[in-house]
Amino acid sequence: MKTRPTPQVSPVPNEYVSQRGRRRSRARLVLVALAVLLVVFFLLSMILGSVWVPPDRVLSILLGQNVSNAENAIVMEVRLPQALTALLAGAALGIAGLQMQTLFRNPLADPFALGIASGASLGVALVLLAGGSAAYGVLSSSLGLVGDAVVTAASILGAGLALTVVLSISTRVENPATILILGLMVGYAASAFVTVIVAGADPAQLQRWIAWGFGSFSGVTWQRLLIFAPLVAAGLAVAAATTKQLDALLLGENYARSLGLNVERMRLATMMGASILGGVVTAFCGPIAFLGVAIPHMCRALLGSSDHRVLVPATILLGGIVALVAQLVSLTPGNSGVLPLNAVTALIGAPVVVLFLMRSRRGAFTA
Amino acid sequence: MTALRATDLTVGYRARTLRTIVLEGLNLDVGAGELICLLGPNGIGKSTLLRTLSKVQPALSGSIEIDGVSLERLSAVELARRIGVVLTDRPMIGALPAYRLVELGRYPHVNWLGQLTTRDHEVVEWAIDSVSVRHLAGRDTNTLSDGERQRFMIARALAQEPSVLLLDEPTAFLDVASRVELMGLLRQLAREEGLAIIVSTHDLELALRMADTVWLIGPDRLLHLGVPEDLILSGTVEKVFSAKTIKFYPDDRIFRPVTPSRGIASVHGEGLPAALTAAVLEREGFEVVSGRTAPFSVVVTSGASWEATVAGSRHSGKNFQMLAGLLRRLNETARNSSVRV
Repeated sequence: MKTRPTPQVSPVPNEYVSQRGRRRSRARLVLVALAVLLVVFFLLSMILGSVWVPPDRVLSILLGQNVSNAENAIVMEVRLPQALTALLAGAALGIAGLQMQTLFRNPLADPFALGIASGASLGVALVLLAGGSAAYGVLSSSLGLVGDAVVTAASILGAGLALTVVLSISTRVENPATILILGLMVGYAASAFVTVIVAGADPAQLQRWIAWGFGSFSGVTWQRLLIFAPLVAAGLAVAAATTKQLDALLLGENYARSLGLNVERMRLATMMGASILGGVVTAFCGPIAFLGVAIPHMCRALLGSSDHRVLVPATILLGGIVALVAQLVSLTPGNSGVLPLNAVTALIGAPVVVLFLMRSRRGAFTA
Repeated sequence: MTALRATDLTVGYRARTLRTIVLEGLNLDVGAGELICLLGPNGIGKSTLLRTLSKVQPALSGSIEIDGVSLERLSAVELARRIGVVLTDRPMIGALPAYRLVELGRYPHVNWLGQLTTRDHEVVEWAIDSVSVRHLAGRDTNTLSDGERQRFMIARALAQEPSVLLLDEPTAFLDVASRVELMGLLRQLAREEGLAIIVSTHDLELALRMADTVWLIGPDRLLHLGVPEDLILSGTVEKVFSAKTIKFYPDDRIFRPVTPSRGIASVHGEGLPAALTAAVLEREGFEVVSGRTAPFSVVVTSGASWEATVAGSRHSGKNFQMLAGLLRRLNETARNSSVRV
């Protein structure tokens, strides 16, 4: 027996209203989940380490009660500043990478696209390795050894110099791709100087240089966090305040301009913001690769969206999470030492990113 | 009501002290609800003119007014509320739903956080509906076809609530059906929403059919403007676009390639069969006349049955394939005999 199909008067479904609701709830879900994970890993990084501090005591210490002097010192003086540094650095690198990728419409762009990592390396190489120089003599006599503060200052100066060169030329350049090439060339030039310095360096001093290159979140004390945290916060604020502009840039610079965006000003603000984030992290934690490229891609895949209004908060959260996890993993050898942070981020991160991209097939730049 | 007016406008490029004039002395007037097609060969300055009208590049001299306000006095955001553009750029954006593309059109209207109000959502919905893509709004942008994406780009421009819409070759990548549809859509938008729409295109025949006014830029870099039929009657279209190899036929408003003539042929018959017989003969290089006898004459009866008389000998067939075959055989015979001579 056949049933006659009932005639359907189907109005055109309003995909705009239904999809907007669906995507908004998905974004909310992802953001809440990321926030919860961030808290969990933050607490874990207080608990785990060479010494196990039980969760209840961690909470008491964080709430300001003195449980035991030893544990108090471990949590408050070592683990808390370390975790805060990791969180801020991860967020900073993620956001800077996102800004660069959107600005240059290039999936490979990272916080160091303008050559600032090489600039920072050059600064650090000069103070750590230019051993026979007068500067080193002065520094070592006055400080005893080249202190962390000097390394940080040298790194900031080097990165700033590279950025100044690129930005001052970039105002005369129309095509964003040309700016990327410019950054690449400045980076190569700085790296060449570094190579020359390394080749002539005293092997004893190379140790310190190599260690700097590994990257680390543990060198940042409370005192240094007072400088690090506000700088990162300012950089993140730039990104958070320009989500509207970043979204417009998804259409390309010509369309963005036709929508009323001052493209030149936005380009400058974004390049400066992202480079300051990347440069500050490099100065305090060493050249940390990978996170800047990977975090934005992971967030796009998680959200299924290139919308910066949700991508920016998600990148801050996920950047913090991944950096905390990397920090935890780098400590696993326990008393026998630590794994280099850069090795950890790449080793656990690369497969994760590949997995994300394979499963989603919805990266921002895949055609 | 004038939406856009250009007075004594000169467009071109300025590099240091050197001025390259592309087009000069333009006086243009576009009314609300008017669809204008900008036509001209490649590299003649169509895009330069559109870029100047949308303030992407400065005019060399002269003035441009939108809704009576000089372009120079408008800020970037105010300008974006008055002019919407669709460019030849085809941004490939992944992981972005098509509706978000349209929402970006609200850029000049929303607050610094980019938050959309209820009214913004209503405008976006209206823009999506005006280009009839409601059912596609949730799709990922890079899964859309070229025609669909172009519609969303137009919806995005509409969401700016402009009074002038400028489109630079919006039909370039589209198939024939989408081209006709898109031009029809623009015409409807002009009429129903009172938009002044300026479209540059290479689709001459379509433009002459659809435009209220055409702006023709000829190889002489002069801009001729008028209602298509006036320009056809005055011979301007023919003058601007006819070349050695193509010729404009005003009666049919189409272009045909110029082929070396093989002689005169006459067609006797009625209606579509007669017209199609003429088409076959023209393609094979004959000049078709009707009514009088010619060395080559074809009589078409019902359907495609035909009888041809050529140099005294008679041929017949019952479809156009057979007629085309006969014409090609005759051509070969002629070629062979001339080779022997």
